[in-house]
Amino acid sequence: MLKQFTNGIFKENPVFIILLGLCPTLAVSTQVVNALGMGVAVIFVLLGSNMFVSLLKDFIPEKVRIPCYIIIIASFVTIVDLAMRAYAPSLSKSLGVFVQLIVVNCIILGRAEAFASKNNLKSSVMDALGMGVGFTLALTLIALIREVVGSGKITLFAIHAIGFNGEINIPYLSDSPIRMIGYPAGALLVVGLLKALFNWFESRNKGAIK
Amino acid sequence: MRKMLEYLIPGLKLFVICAVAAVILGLINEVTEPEIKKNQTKEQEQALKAMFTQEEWREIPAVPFSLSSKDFEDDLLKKCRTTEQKQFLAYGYDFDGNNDTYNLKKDLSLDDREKLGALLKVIGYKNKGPVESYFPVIQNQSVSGYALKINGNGYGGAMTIIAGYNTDGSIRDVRLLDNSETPGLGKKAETEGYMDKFIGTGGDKPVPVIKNMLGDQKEIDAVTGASITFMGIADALRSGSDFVKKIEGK
Repeated sequence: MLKQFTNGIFKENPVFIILLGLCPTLAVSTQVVNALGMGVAVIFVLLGSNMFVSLLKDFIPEKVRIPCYIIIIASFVTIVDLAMRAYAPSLSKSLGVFVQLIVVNCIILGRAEAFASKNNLKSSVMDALGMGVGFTLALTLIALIREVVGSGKITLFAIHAIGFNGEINIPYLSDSPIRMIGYPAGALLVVGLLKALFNWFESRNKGAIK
Repeated sequence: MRKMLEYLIPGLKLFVICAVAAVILGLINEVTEPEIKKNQTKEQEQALKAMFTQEEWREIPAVPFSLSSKDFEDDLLKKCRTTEQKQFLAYGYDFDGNNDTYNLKKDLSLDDREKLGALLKVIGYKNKGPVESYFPVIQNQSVSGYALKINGNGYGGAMTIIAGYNTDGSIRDVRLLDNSETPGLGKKAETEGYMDKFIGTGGDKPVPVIKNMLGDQKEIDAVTGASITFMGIADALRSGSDFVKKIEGK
């Protein structure tokens, strides 16, 4: 059971290993706060869709399974979108169309088709959590690198109670950041380098077993 | 029969799933809609207060300035339920026999304009122009400018724009509110400084509606890659400017 969870984080990390959902990864990883917000939204949608697809797997006819999955996913996305617009308007503003685009995020449809439709509720929930957390961690890592290097700061949620405005400035880097990393081309570079790093780890581990 | 069921059942099951999803989403919309409305009004108020130093704002719905007599009778008069409503319409619009049109009276007070806007809403008239409503700016008991709520069309669909105008139709300040523009491209219109190219235009100087009307190469570069957003905003601002000139009777 725990294996399903950790699988999504390391061995089958959606972004770095199975290379799913790269489009939102590249687009949303400009700020740490956006990555976390997107991650939470994806975890919620993934959890909801995996749960319902798994529960309804005997009800859903084979012939129209994809439309059924899409309706379930789209419903959860709409719920997240409406809730964000009502209770977290600034986050919803900065995530823009990417929330709606979760509908076509291949991680979610991919997991519904490849996992939830063949497994029981418990495993599907663990799979959703693992994949969701794996996606969030990967996204946050990319965003952290891009924001620190690209604009010399880390943006988190503002907590007004303790006077924290949500921005941590990094000395030196905030004066002369490497702007390119913050741009779309920088996203490709960072993801590519991280993927290379993951591949290196993987091949080293395999060598150790031999 | 068996064959028919084979095709019918998946369709019916899909329908059941859709119906359940629709009911759930309807319920959620019921809960979140008032909150979303509240957020939008708050944002709108902030935009207005940032443009003009005025505490109290009244929103007046936009009404058509001129209608052909056929449209006036079909869309407005026939939909009135009471004679009072009809009388008020006749009071607000003057008949122009030469052009066979009904024109909005030029010297209507703000109260009458507000009442007329409310009346048109009650009888279900949908204003076709991009300007949705306007907020007069009052200084020393007279109108010194207007803030307009304009609906524009961008790359990602509808956009809501709040723009401040002087009484001659020149633009004082612009804010882009609700929009679905692409982050990194069209969304840049939300950043500070983007709207600077429009400020001061609309009066003697025309609003730049195509890229080549922007003087500076730097400014042309700034909208390149997101021209549809630029043209959507520019178009909305130009209609806003015309609208202000019409209210002022120019």
